[in-house]
Amino acid sequence: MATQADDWGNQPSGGEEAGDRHVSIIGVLAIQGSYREHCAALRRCGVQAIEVRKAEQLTRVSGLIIPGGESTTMANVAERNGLIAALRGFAQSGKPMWGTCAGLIFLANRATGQKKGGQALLGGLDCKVHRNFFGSQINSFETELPVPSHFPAKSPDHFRAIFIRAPGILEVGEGVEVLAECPVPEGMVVPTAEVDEGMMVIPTAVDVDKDKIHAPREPTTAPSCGDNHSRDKVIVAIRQGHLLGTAFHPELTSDLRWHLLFLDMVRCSNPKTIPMEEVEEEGALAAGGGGGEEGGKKADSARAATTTTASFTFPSMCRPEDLPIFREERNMEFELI
Amino acid sequence: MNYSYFPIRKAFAADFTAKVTSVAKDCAEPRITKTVKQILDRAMRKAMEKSIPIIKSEYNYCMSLVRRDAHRRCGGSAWEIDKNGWFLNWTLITALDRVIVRLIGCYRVVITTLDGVIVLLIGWLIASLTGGWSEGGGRGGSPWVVLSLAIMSSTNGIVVTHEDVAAAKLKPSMAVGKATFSVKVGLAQMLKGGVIMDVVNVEQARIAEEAGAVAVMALERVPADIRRHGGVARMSDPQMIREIKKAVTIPVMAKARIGHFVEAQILEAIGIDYIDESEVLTPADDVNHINKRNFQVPFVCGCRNLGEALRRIAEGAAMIRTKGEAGTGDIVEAVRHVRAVMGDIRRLQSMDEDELYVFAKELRASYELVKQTKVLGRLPVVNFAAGGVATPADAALMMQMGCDGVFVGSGIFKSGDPRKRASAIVQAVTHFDDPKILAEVSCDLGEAMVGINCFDKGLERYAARSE
Repeated sequence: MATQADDWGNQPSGGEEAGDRHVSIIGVLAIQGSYREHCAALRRCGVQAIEVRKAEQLTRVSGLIIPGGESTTMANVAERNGLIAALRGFAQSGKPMWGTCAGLIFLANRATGQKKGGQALLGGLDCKVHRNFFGSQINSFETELPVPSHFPAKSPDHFRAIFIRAPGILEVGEGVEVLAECPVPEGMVVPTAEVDEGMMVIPTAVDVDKDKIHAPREPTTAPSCGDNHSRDKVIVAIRQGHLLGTAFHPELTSDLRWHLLFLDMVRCSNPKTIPMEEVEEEGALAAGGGGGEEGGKKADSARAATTTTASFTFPSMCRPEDLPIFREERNMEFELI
Repeated sequence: MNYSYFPIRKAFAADFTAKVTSVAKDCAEPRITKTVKQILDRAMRKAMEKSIPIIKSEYNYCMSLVRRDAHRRCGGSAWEIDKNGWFLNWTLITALDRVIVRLIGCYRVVITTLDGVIVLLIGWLIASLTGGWSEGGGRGGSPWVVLSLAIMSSTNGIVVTHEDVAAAKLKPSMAVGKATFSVKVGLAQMLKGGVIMDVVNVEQARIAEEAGAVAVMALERVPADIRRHGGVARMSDPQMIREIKKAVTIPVMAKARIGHFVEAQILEAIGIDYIDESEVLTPADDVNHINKRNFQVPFVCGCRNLGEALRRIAEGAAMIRTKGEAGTGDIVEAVRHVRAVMGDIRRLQSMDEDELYVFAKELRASYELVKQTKVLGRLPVVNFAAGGVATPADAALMMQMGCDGVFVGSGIFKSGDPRKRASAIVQAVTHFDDPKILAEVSCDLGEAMVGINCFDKGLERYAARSE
């Protein structure tokens, strides 16, 4: 256990002894977007995932993923259901949250390039995010990026990153750890940090209760990332305390390492919850995908059988299994995991 | 083939297995190890029992697996192999191996016959004359190297494989893949669980965005008006689409006529996010659809049954919707189409593998896609409902039947209170399985769009315009 924690670059907190090991539940905000992909990835990691649609469901989960999707839609629906306050409370309680793409915008303190009138943000990540940084769908792309140093040493040193109308992180404050940067595609007109039309600023975490809106802060030049403003690269993954934000979509690839990183954050914040060694046994660190020999369902059920300490109850759905993960775009081959 | 080399082969197989195992352990990919192991075991058993050489095709199959494994781990890009013609890492295990490895740098070769050694030496000679070997470094080399090695491996029982993972890792491919199928499907995946609304001007687009639409479909007339006015319905004015694009931050879709690839090119040029090759517009080609693989921009297409859906996917569609009967406000056709698709998938799942060929013939769809669908238990791309959705209940019905999201055409802006209805339908799609919330959002929405009963005689069937 302890060495595993070191591998992931986190300090193992107390209570690591193999005692009562509860299977913790990770929630995925299921308002809209790629929540089922996230749930599938979490199940492949051997933990239970539930779809969170209502405030009361938040009490059951020990970590929350805000998936990719349309951030305006998510903010809109969440606001109408009174979920925003519950989510802010969740973030303040110190439980880990991870936002991919739209979720990153949600978690950012400041966002630009939004719709007229702005949108509700949860805040917490001290950074400035530009919506649709890379442009519209025609500029969406996938690439390989070097992994952050927290990833296990034995795993591949690159990961597949899929950017879909993705945001970019323009500035980060002090104490924000930059996990990944992406070279800006050639010939792209780069949105600058100065464009403040439709800018939404949300209060810093300390001031959330007072619900007052601050003026945008002066951009702080963090010493950890000196080329904060150089625009041949843009920051695409950050971590601050219990919050993780990625501009790309790990849930659309078969690489589970980002999910494992998040699970590790959950484990460190609440040490007696996730049985990590079972994940290792599964060999889930592989960035690659399957040989396509086994059916997805079969693999899923096999995993569920090997990883449970308590019996899992997946939400019974009349809806079919989830989408494949595509690799070979020419003949549209897919991988089943 | 000379049987006296059998002991070498045996040694090779053992060594090869060990290497593959260690490599696979390194990348923690148990399944591929298992497959390679099984093949090798079988080959070994055959060789032992009948004392025949290990069959070359089995070697080649092992090799292809290992290569696939290798290229995945060195960056995952298939082009890596295509560009260089070969994945240049080699394994060598005969007595000569150390010598030859010294000679040719990091390449390693497995030799199973004596002829192989000779050809290798010839190849090496050619390569050194052309300067290919001196480049070293685990990749590249002149075309001569590639050619000579390819000839060797294909004719002389030489098995090539990679070994030096570290060398492969040094130069990962950082190539940017634009408009790959996963990127195209990716946007559709981000739209899942959402509502896409038809809008005809900037004001409506703003209302849709405020209500929580995940995307808007920009068109000149909503289907209900197309139905009323008749005539030929075409692609919208690009200027209008541009304005809508400027006004909202959510993705903007637009419709092109079936088979009208120039309209699609125009829409691509103005940077639209998704193109709907739609039967609602008057078809431009009554036989062929657009070859959607030629485009960078992703396409969504309508379908009435599984065969039609798979034919569109084969043409390159990255998203599927039911056709329904647009502009009627009658959900019956959409239900029929979802039932047809889902029913066919359920039948498919209970079928024997042997029956798939005939089923693919009946569906008039590609066998490969039929097989993929069977394995997945769903369409291999995102599947939305469209055509006749007018109330929150309609939208939730489509979601409960297994759709990933909903298109609403005339249902919103032909109703009494578009703002309220739009936001109610958005809520209904999120909470599709919670009747209490559905009841709440369905209250007091004002007048719904005037419907046209789909069983009316004389109703023009848009859905039947293409197949």
